[in-house]
Amino acid sequence: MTTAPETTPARKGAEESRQSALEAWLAHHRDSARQSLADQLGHPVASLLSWLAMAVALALPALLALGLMNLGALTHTLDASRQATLYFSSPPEDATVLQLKASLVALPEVAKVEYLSPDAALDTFRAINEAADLLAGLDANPLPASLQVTLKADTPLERLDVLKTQWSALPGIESVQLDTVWLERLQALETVLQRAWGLLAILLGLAALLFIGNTVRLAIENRRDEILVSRLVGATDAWVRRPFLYMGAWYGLIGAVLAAVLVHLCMAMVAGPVEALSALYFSAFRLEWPGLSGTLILLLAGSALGWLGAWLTVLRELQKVEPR
Amino acid sequence: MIVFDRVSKRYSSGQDALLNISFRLGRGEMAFLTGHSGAGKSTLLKLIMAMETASGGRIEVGGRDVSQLQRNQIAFYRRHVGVVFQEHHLLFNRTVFDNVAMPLRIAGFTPRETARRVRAALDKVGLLRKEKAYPLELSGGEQQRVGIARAVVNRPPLLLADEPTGNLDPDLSAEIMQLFRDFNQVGTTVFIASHDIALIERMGCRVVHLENGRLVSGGQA
Repeated sequence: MTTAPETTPARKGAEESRQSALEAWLAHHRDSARQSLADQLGHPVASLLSWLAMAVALALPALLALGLMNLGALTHTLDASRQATLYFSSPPEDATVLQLKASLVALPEVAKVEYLSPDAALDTFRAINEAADLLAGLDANPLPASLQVTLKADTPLERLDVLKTQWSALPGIESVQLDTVWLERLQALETVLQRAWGLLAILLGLAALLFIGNTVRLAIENRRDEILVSRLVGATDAWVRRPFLYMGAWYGLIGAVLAAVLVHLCMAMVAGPVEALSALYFSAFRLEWPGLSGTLILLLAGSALGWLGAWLTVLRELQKVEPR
Repeated sequence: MIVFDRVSKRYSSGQDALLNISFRLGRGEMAFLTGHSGAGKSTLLKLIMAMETASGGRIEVGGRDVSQLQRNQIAFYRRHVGVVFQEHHLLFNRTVFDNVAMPLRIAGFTPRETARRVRAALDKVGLLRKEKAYPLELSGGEQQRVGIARAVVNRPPLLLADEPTGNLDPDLSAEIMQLFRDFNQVGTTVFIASHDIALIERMGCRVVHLENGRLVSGGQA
């Protein structure tokens, strides 16, 4: 820093004793953050209610989001085993089968095509069905020949319907079985749950904002004298606001830490049964945990929500605390 | 230091608190503002502090037009005006040291410089040994001196006081007035609102006299 020639020694001394605006600003941020954290930790019983309210308001949507994430993963696992069966009206010629197989495999949606002859179908039927003895009484094998088509997982449901219609019209094909109805239902359920999650998150977010707002409003009321005096001795609006904004952010952050603990506890409690269940049905499915990024998002969302709640209140309430 | 040019103040209730007030207070001057309760003394000080805005006229303090100050400029402006209140507005949950340190912390002084200046101010008002005490542990006169220390700790060029001796007995009042005179002697402009006529007369300073919101005497130095 250069010293202007007209700067008298006394004035120079005064300038050195004062921090730069940036340093003072940073120092006040540090002090506000530290002081408001110390206030909360120093009164754990009084703060507990606010922390827990924030924790619950954050943990519920977080748990639902995790549930949805897992449901998404589950449907994805199921999608992977999407299969269509094309039944022949009469046992086909080998050439017809090869030609049809080739044309189906050429489609972008198709992963694999396998021919199942009536004999092979009968063997499979016998292997999985104890009632197969019923068939033994018949003269001929009643089972039709079929093509087992495995579709790629990312094929949209609407496209499946189109394919089904096209395939039904193929010469020599009696019918096409493609069970998309329950997949559609599952997807519709997912949409409903997503919407419900969005609404719940918004409502609980609002509740958290109001709660933090009220807590900050009470704090402003308690520190009314301090605010008045600091205004009289030259505090700016930003200076007066700062401790309250940090207060809100701390409530949000500590609430979010508790919410993260709550979420992990709940996950640990359902993880065992869910994985036992998935082992019985869908071996590819693994329970998805929030992970580091999910936890960080939760902490960030909590702090932001607390800060916003404080900000909205402070904007309104501090206008009322003016020296008169 | 202070220029009032045909200043009026009418409250929203329609009541006229000040009517057509004009006077000047020179740099380094010490003066009293007197009049009955309700004469407009407090309103006049509030206008100087930018706690109220004038309904008409011009107020200049230290060359700045107070009525033109933006909200955030008011905060910085107040750092150049020390104020002592009758009810001294101390924070009872903070030590004497922290009370006096407030203006310095707001103005962004380093902790070391803050401590140095707070002790200098407390030494000046004779309360250096009470820095760790809380205001409620102090007598009325001591509390008022903490208020004065807080008003001057920033070394403002202008010091205002609103009935600073209102609750004190004559001996204590005289001590407080002597303090103001000391600050004035090192160059601070001092303007004190008081209705304690006897005390004012003993001080032998210029007296700006208000009655029912009008200036009746003392407008000229």
